[in-house]
Amino acid sequence: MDIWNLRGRKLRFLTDAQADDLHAKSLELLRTTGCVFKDERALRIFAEAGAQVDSAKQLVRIPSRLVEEALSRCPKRVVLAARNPRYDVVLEEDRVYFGTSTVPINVLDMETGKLRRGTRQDCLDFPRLIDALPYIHFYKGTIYPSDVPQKAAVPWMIYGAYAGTEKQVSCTPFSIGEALAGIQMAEIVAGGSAELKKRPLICFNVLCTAPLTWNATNVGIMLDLAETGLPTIIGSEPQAGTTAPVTILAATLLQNAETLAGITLAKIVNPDLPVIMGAIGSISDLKTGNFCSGAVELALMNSVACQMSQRYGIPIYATGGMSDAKLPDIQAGYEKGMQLLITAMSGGNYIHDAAGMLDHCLTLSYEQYVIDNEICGMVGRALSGISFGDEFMALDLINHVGPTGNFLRERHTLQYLRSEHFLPELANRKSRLDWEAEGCRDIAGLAKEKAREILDKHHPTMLSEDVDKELKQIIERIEAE
Amino acid sequence: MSDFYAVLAEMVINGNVEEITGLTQQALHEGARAHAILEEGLLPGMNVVGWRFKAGDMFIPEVLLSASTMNAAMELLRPLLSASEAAPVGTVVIGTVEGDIHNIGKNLVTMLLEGARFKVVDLGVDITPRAFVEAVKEHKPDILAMSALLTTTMPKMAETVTALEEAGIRDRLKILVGGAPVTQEFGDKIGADGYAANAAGAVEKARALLEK
Repeated sequence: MDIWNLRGRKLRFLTDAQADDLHAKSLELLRTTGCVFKDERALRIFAEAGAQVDSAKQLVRIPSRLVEEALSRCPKRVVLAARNPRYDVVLEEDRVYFGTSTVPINVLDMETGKLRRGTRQDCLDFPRLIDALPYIHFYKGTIYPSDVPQKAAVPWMIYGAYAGTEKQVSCTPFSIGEALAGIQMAEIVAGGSAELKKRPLICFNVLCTAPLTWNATNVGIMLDLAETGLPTIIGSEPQAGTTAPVTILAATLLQNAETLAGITLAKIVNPDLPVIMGAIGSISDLKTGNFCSGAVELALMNSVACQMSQRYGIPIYATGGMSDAKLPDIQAGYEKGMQLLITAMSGGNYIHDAAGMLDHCLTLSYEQYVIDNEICGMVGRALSGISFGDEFMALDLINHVGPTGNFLRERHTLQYLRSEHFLPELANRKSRLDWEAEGCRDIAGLAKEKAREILDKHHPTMLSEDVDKELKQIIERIEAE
Repeated sequence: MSDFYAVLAEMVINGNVEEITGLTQQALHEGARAHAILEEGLLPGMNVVGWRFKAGDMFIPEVLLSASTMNAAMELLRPLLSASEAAPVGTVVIGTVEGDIHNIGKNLVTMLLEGARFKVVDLGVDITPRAFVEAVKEHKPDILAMSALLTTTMPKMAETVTALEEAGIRDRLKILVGGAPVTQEFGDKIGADGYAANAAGAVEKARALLEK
């Protein structure tokens, strides 16, 4: 398995005709019912482009040709650059990458096992952990620190990302100020704004959250990001049963339509903007009203979104690998494994939330990251599938060893062992006796030990002193405001 | 008559909005008092709904259907109830705090409070401390309920408590807070009177606060 060369597109739930129908119905929704954009700039932009705008309701009825034009101008390939180019993430076709979870506020403390709020130290430790985990490709700003002034929380998250890992960085901004601060920091790390344009070291996302309603904050951020020309994730997060109909198909229809509405606006502002469509929708738990992050239906909705992204030829920011469990326990294992496998096999390009998170997107766990790294590895192995060719068929070898022989001593076995068999570090494959002799270790305990070891010993390539100082100055300035 | 009440309660529990007005009409026709129908038929039904919902045995859409069913019967009863009989058990002003636009949880609390016969004034989302103060002055509620789903907006709850103190009206009401990142600890710290972790808990807490 080459973890940096994974391909999905092995699973799809819709026929081509059904996918076409979903697209046609999305256009129809936008054309007839329309979408609300709570931003005067957006309404003006749409009106000038020929859409029908009801200013009082802030409602835009989008002509289908605007949507089709927008889609046709989206690049099929978007490269998100990393501090170390070997960690660049190439989003195209059915390439698959796994990344971290965003943006919880709590951490399961490794010492006490109790829940606590995230801190500035976590902003430095989590990226350092991810830097050392081989099956996690990218780092999306993961923990929201509560021990810094609120306006500096996202900047600390971004600083920690660049300081702690050489892997590709992205971030959810909650205000345009945070996005701009992030871009400023990315420019410093890149070595200038021209360099950042050539190698975009940061990527932000904006999301639609209500039925056919883009709120003021996300539209504002989207419009300003569109003008920067940096790759932008534009997506939607409907919840079947509350902000979308209870049926999964209808929820995917809304997810698709809302995403198309956002992409259309962004592409009118900047026709050359590299866009990544986003899918984060799931079901609501209709007993509590809670967002079900661990539901298998999330993966189904994501699979449909991945299929649509391949139909449109646009990269996708996908979701998979979450659980509503409160601990790294059995529920976490099966919810995460199942969800990630489905999304990955559907060809989700940039699968965020693939590791680390628990409990309705509220909590991070260091040991869960280590466990999820292994789940990502196993899923990667599944995606790698069956290698074909004479060497892999090994017919000559089978004939040579013959009936009643064995293959243990063959050079072929040693040659292909590591690439053909996924070798877990956590999953225990020993006999029961050996397992008992070694103290009956449970996997969460083992993962915690590994997390501690990594945090003790692993240090990524540091930022240069100058860059580090400049980044910290930005934060100091923000804190002082 | 008690047979009527039992059947009415079942209809509320089962969300039988199609048949309840007919049966309510019939009960009235046969001499049942409107107040008795409410107290012995409809409310016991909603109480069962409340317990089952809290226990995780009923879905929100089912609860909403039960509430609609009770409302359908209430349409017939309201004109026949005396002012005190028709009075709600209390008044709640509710809103999501400034900078926050999440509303599903708040809407759920509103619907369950109404089902429990509270009068609810739902201000909506993104409500500034000042707007909360104005609403309290206008509606004179027993309880002010605030919701926040973002840690970034939680501080607005504390600001609202302060604004009520500065307006000299903090002591006239009880303050109830909730929302996914909100905790009992946080509620205590900002001087709220109560915290609820979910919608069913909010109704229980609201009832308890009325008795204080």
